[in-house]
Amino acid sequence: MSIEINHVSKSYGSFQILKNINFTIQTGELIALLGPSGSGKTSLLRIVAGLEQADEGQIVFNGQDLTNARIKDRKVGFVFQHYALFQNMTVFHNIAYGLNVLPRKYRPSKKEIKEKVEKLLSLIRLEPYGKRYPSQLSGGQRQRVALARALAIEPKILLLDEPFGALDAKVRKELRDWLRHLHESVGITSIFVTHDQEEAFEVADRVVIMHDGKIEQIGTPEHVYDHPANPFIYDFIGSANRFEGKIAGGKFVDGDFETDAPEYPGEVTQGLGFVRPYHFIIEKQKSGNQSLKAKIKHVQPVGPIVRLNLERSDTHDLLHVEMNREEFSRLDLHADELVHLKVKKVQIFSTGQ
Amino acid sequence: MNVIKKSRRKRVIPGFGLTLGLSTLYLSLIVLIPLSMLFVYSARMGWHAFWSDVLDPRVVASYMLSFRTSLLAGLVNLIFGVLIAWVLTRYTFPWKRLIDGFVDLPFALPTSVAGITLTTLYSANGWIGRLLPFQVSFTPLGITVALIFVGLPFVVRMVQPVLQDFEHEVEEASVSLGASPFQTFRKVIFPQLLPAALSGFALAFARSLGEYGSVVFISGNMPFKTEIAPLMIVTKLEQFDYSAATAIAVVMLLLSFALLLVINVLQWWYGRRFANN
Repeated sequence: MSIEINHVSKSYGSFQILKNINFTIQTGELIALLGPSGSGKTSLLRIVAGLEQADEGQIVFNGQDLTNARIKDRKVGFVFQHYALFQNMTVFHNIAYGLNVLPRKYRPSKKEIKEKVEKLLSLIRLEPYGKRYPSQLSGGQRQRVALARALAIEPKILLLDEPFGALDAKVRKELRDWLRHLHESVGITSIFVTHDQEEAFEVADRVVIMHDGKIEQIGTPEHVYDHPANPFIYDFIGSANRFEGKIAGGKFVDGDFETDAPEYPGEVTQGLGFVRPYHFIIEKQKSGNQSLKAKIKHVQPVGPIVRLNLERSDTHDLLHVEMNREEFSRLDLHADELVHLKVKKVQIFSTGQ
Repeated sequence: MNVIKKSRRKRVIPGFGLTLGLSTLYLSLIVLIPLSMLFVYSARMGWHAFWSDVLDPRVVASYMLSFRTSLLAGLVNLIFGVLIAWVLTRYTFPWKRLIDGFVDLPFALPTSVAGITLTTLYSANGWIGRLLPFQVSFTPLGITVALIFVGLPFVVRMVQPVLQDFEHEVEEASVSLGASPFQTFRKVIFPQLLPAALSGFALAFARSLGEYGSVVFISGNMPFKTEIAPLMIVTKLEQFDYSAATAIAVVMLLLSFALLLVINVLQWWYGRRFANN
């Protein structure tokens, strides 16, 4: 089922948490709503679910306006960050809950319910745990039960609010792969909220980056990663070196750092430059004039790559550089060594004035 | 299966032996020794005298009355206590704090004051009694009313914290799965507050069994009709029949102990599955 979010706004008192949100989700897509806390992503999810009402705008499911429909009538499966399992019921009855509360004439028979729950238990790989209570399960298992419970009502849309937020790194990674796999096999339109960019980029078909109640960028993970639309996204998706300087005469200058900025030929403004750690060239001897002197502070080999922390000689700011092991040993670099940095690729943004 | 393991873990705050010793001493002095005196006294009188005192039809009628009215009052308090706790935790409204304070009033008020007030209100010419087509004061119904008054705070105060800590998300989960508000309450919320409500019920019930001050005025104390067991004890004491008074007390003690045990076992059986891991 496709979801259209049309000009949705929402305020809590004088604080506007959502400002005119507008986008469409295609049938079968897995969308990540990504943003820092307070960006409005959870509010948007809750409005789509019907747990909250938008002040303005519409929520349209498959061409049907459901803005004012009750959550019951929306056929959405909702998964909460803290599982929200029913502590007084076994895993089996938690999963069967959505079927057991159906009006008698729509309710499947006991046998059908049992078969369905058993199928879901095998889907979440917890077949032997049907008789346990939620308090007897680990966090990852509880969240899988919550997912099965949401899937039991055969929702047209699955909404997940920071589903892996309360879990440790390893379980998180496992569940993430499993969610992706599940989505491919069930094919249900899904939206999940996260503040973890790695999670969003790894799992989602498209990523919606939110900030301050607005959408900053929508796109596939590759697209967002390779072409961040603005400085906020560069900062947020992380691991880019940031240069603050001036744009003048088609060049961006920050201290000793200078690079061409052909996008801004005539302007004289403040600007920001972003360089990813693996877009640097390190040289022992200075060559050309667009290079930056820096001192190696720390060398840290991580798997096949080597991470270097360097201190700029002009501003003493830290720079993060990555290179592969072969290049590192070819260059024969050591801590406290002075080197020259050149950039292979830089993204310049004008910040006005 | 429970395996009792010896814990060799070092505790952050030491003093287990000392605090346990003090607790035991205190409980012995305050509760166990006085109660055991009951048994010692009644044991002195011999079986025959004991049974004839205890099985005196007038006394038996008073046990029945006490248990019946206390049970009824406890049930009424169970239902309305949950309701009041619900209103006080779920909604905000003007004067909420004040109303919350009213709940404790039956604790604070001397019970005889409550008894006199209730008797006056519910008597045939009283403000409330006048409006009712049936008699309340000087009937078992009147006793129940007094016991409801006395037992009100227990259920409310037991259930309130449970409702306060109840995760809102759990209700939202229930609704998102298609449950109606009533189904959500019946299947999800109520089962989780039942243990606390039962505790409150047990406390209110126990308190009602022993209640004297508020009941003697409204009951009218008619033999076989509105005499409660504690009144029988006082009557025997006034006649200097100490052994009969103790014998009745022992029976009351054993009966209420048995009932509380049943409620506790029920609660344990119910809560063991999910309350604590």
